[in-house]
Amino acid sequence: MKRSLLRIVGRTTFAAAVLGLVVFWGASQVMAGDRPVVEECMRCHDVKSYEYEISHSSHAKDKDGKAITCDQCHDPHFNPVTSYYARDEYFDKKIFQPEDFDRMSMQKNVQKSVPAKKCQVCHVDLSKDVKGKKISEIGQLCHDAFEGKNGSTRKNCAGCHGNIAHLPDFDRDLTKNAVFVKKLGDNPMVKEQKGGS
Amino acid sequence: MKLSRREILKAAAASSAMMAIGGPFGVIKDAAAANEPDEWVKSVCRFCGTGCGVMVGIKDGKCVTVKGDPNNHNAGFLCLKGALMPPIVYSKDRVTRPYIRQKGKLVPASWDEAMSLVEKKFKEAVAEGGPSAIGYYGSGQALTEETYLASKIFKAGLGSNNVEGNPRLCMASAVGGYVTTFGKDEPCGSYSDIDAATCMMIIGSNMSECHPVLFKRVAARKQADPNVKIIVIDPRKTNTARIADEHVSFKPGTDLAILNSMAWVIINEEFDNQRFHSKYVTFMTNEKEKVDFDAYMKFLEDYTPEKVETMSGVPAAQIKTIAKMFAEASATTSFWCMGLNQRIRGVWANNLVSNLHLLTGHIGKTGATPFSLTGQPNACGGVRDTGGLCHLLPAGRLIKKEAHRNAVEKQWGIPLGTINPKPGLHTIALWNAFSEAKVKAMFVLCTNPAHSLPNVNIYTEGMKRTDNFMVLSEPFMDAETVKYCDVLLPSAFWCEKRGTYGCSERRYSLLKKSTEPLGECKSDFEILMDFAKRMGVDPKVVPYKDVDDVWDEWRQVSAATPYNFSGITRERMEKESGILWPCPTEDHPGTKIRYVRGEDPNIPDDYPKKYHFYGKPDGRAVIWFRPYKGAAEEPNEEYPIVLTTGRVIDHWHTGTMTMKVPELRRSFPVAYVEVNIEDAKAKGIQNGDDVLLETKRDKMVLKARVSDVCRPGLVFVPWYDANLMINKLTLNAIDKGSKQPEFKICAVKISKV
Amino acid sequence: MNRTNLKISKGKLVGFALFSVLLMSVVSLSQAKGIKHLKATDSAADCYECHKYVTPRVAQNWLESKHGVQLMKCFVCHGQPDGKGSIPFSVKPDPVAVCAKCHDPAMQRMKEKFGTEKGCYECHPFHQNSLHHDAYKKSASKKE
Repeated sequence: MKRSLLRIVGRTTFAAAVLGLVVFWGASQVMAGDRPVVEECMRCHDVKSYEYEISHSSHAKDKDGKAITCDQCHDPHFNPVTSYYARDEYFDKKIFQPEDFDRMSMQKNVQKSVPAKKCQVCHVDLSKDVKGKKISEIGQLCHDAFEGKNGSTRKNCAGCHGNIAHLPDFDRDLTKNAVFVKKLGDNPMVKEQKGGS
Repeated sequence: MKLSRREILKAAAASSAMMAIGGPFGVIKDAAAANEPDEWVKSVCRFCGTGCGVMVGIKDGKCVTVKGDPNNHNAGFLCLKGALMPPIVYSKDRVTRPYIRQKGKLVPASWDEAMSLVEKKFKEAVAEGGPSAIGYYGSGQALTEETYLASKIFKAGLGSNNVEGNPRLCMASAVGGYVTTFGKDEPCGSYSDIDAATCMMIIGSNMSECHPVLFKRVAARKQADPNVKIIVIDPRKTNTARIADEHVSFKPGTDLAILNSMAWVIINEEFDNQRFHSKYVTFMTNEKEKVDFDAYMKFLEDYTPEKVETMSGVPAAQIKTIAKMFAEASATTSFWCMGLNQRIRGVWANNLVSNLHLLTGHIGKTGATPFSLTGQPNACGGVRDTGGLCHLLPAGRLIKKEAHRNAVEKQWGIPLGTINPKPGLHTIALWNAFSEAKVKAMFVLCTNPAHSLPNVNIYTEGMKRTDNFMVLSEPFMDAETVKYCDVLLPSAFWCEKRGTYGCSERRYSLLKKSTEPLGECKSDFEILMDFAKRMGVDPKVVPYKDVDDVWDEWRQVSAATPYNFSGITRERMEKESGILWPCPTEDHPGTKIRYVRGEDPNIPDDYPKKYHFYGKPDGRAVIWFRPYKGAAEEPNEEYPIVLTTGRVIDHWHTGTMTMKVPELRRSFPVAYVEVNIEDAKAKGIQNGDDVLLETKRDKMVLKARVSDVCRPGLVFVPWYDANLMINKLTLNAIDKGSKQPEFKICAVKISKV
Repeated sequence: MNRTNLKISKGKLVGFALFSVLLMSVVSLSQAKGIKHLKATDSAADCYECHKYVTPRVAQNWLESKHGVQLMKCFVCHGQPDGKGSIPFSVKPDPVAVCAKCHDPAMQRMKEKFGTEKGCYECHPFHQNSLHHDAYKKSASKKE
């Protein structure tokens, strides 16, 4: 008698949880629908300095001049794969105070959580840039490795092309970021950041 | 079954331990153990004029590895070229037997066949045109004993003063500069000055790529004391400029004006050392008229910072800053190299640097010296000091002076009047004469003129002629000059022969033989002795059974001169790792500072003055009034950009050695043209694009490397690529004094292909 | 309340342990297999040009270190990853075969002082001894 009750309770809870997740996910999709994406994300994630960074990056706008939004790279909410990589931040509840993030320790996981197929929406042909210009010989070798044609890599796009949208202060000394650093300038919003130095 | 926590933990530990055994990043010990040498033999690096000591690791009679000599000046350090030398020795491109050219192709021959032909051709040339119809073109990479021997054979044995070498292309202006300023060649300081300098000026030198281990010492000095100031004066923002406090970029050729301007600032800010220059300096105009300090100040009025800013593009404020830095420091050392030497005003440029040191008194003190960097490992010891040039005799003596000729003839035990009183043809004149078959037979040793001569098309055309004859001693089959030689002799290479190298700081070090020559290779000493014998040179002129005999004679010949290194015996060279001359006795430690009483053994202890520039009759050094004069071929409307050439760290000169090392070859497999970002934008050139370069002489397509290294209006092409020889485009105009060509500046136009 | 004992059979436990070892080996081996360095062409074999994007922190550390300033390039110590070099490839070069070419005097001194054959890396952060303008600090291995 006890055992069957336990089973019913367990199974009901499970079903309720699944239903709740589905409803929540659906609701978040619907509710986000009629507001600008970035503004919507920023209702919970206070990412003003991150927004400043991307607006000065090479990924501020796409090739047609349209602003690139958070969801074009980041997979918001409940994608099990990307959620797995963001699990530490879920548990610490820091996702609502991103300015407190230890960006250095997070960086690898965040890069893993940006799926390659999102980049490939614009970057279809890896032998050219979005404007159709052929990439360098070195770039071609790297992409051959990414596609497994010449050696192989463990990284996704963001793993090698980090710092194309956001630039934490500890990466500002890298030579590959010199142009981006110049564009960021001396704005107090990005001058001093908490967490990982 | 009941399991305790302990047992679970144990199981977990065991399984993770098993996992830890694997992993891809294990340290490779096997390869190292397999190549552990049986012995280490002392030698010197085959590459640049830094002259790092090297220990050659020998296993089973083969060179398997190298490491730095801990007892030489480099304290065990090497650069990437030195560290990777071993594969070059056993390259499949080694010439291992003699060849004779028959019907356009090189055909294998025996030593006797090859040398008989050489003898025949040289004797024919002498019969037809006298001793001036033959010539020798040697190298700053040949051993001292080899160059001394060759010079003696030709000058004393065959009556020909047509003895030249590639140092004419690299150091002649430095020689001219030192001789006109101090009366004697070679630097007066040493590498130790780096460790004490509080300001270092690097001009016309990409030290980090061309003298890496010395640059390391400079950088280490700055790291040890961040107050040390580094000034880098170069129209390219090279890796050397990374450690600079001031990088001065200027319009190519205007460095003479900048140096004069620095002197103006030094005097006008009262930074000059009146006490020093009034006591030890003579002021002389460009017309060799002796004047006074007031005349010098008047001369410099044309070189105020504001005037020089207009002509050079360097802000007046920066000229003032660097002049103050130079003068105010407690000990300033200057370094320079091809940027100043390979110019038609090379001698003047050299003078102007020394001027600053004489004006401020930054000379003859530890940490303060004007130090000319020598490009090749043995241009100093081998060619300059032994007199292996058309106008020189051993130890700085001149062919044109009868007293000098007679002194040398006496030392050599040959009749007075043996040496031809007329100096021979300098390099460009010699190759011009060969190209016209006026010089009919040339002996080329350890150098690659078909790649390294400026405006090289003229000379390769000349080499193609059938009415002149060239014998080439060369270790590598793929050297460009091999395509044109009539006889090719297999030369023993580096660790396969014994001899001396004398590097930039007047240090003579011994290269011990550590492996047997490959195939039928012979040392150049053996080749030259055979040549002398066949040419009928009096055996009394060449009484040597091995290189040590040659060294012993040269050592004793030097005793009568300020070079006096009779204390550098072979025994000492075996025990020690190089000694700086002058070194008059066997217990003398060598000389770090010249021209200073108490440091220089040529100056008696009771000499009344502290400084004695004994190269000059009155004991005073000279501040020369050298005006600014532009390059031989300034950019114009048709050719608006300056083309300059140079090296990269990975390759040595014509690449015949470094291209044998896969790591170095793949680092820079082909030549390229370095274009400034703005110039590239204006021409629509992007990184990797094909760019056509055209000078009045020739044109070439090279891939572009767009960067901010070159200043706008300047392009740079490295000269290591035999398939893209930039010397086809360069100019063979020469410095009137030193006869050194202006490789560094010519006018070019560029366009996207 | 009673403490519950784990009711697992010995067999199941051993099975589980073996399975996890197998799983972890497969994962690590496959990871090892996944690191297959691309074959560079002869005209694009400069390690730094790729690695400033692929491993930017290591590349930057090298660039700013003594080795970087003095142009002691990657291949001098590491060789060539496609095996076409004159020295064997290694991610962690053997001190005796490689470091000793330049640092033998220091290695001898260390051996005399501490009588140890420790690898250089245990103390020296070889990519991180910075010479970068205002960072003229001694490396962590050098104590005042």
